[in-house]
Amino acid sequence: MMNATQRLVLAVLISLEISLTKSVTLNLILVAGALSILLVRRQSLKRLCLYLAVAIIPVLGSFWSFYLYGSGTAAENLHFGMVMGSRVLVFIFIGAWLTLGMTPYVLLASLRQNLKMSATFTYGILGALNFLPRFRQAFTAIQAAGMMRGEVLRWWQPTLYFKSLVHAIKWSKNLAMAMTSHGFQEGANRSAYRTYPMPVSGWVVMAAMMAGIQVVLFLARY
Amino acid sequence: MKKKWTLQDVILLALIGIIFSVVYWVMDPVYQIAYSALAVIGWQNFTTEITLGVWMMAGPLAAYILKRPGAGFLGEMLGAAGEMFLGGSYGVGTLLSGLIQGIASELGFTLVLYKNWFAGLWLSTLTGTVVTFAWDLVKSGYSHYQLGFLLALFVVRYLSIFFFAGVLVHLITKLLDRSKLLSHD
Repeated sequence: MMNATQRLVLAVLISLEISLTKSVTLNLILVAGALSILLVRRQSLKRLCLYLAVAIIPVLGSFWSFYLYGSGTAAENLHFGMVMGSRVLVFIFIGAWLTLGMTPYVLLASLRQNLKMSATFTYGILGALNFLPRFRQAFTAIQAAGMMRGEVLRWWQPTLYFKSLVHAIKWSKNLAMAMTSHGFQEGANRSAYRTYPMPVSGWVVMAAMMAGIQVVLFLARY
Repeated sequence: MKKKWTLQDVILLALIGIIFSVVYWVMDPVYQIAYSALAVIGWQNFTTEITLGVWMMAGPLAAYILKRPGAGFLGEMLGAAGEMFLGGSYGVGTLLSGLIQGIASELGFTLVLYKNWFAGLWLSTLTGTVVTFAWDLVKSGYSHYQLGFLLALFVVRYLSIFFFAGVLVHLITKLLDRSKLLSHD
């Protein structure tokens, strides 16, 4: 129904809306909705458990902070604590819905075709993503090199970042050269093998969702 | 100051985003451990303020390295998007935070009209604190806290951003400047 760009827009709109409103009812409806989509689409149970596991502490933490330290009455603090706790759940499950089955390639290609993002950015970022595993190797090498000098490099030390950035600068030069030598032209007109059009039905669903949210906000008492 | 983004700049920007998306993602459990530890002495509300600086490193660093308008904002956004794709504990909320933090850091460099990058870096720690704090007043219900407590939160947040997104970023860029790897100047 919705393509990647539309899903991204809807996810950001929803997260903005719930950041600025205080309805436990709306938050719980959104969580239930996102969760049921994840279940229908057969999201693996392991992944779902992982989402719940990462959610527990921030949800309880957000709740307790405002329940215990709010400046309002006990009832107000309870309500606000519940709002903040359930908000984290919405963020996690809307995020899970957004990334479900969406690869960075599809997202970037859609953004390029739908929102006219430049090809330099699209393919530059895509090319860079391939370096993710190489960073792991580089990181091990940097730490090993440090150990040989009797230095344990920790994450708060500038040297670690500096050495990673030296790799990044070198790789960016090499990759840019490689892409250019394979025929990548900055600013050239491109045709697309796969197209990612934004269907009208996607806009309808999006409008219906946003309208539904306003109705829930209007009706919900808590 | 150069304006046009070349392919190499974009790749470097994305690589900076990737480095920090991993750092941000690793910070999620660190945050939760710190939260639980601080809860023992009743200081858990300060967890966000103490750690926020780490989440704001990508922007100023990208701006200083690439020296282009928008680099700070885009670097922070890419870091946040990567954190979400890796499965961070705030889901799509990280995109929104990345957007606000990116604008917040970028503003420091905008105020010096993208001319003095050193001054821009220090100014970005201040704009970073003010803008993110204003956003938290609206979004995270900070307006529900008492005034004295709010002041304390603000000061701690500024110190965190000043240290991580200011001092640490400055030390990293100093090493890079000395290595003469940045051929922009």
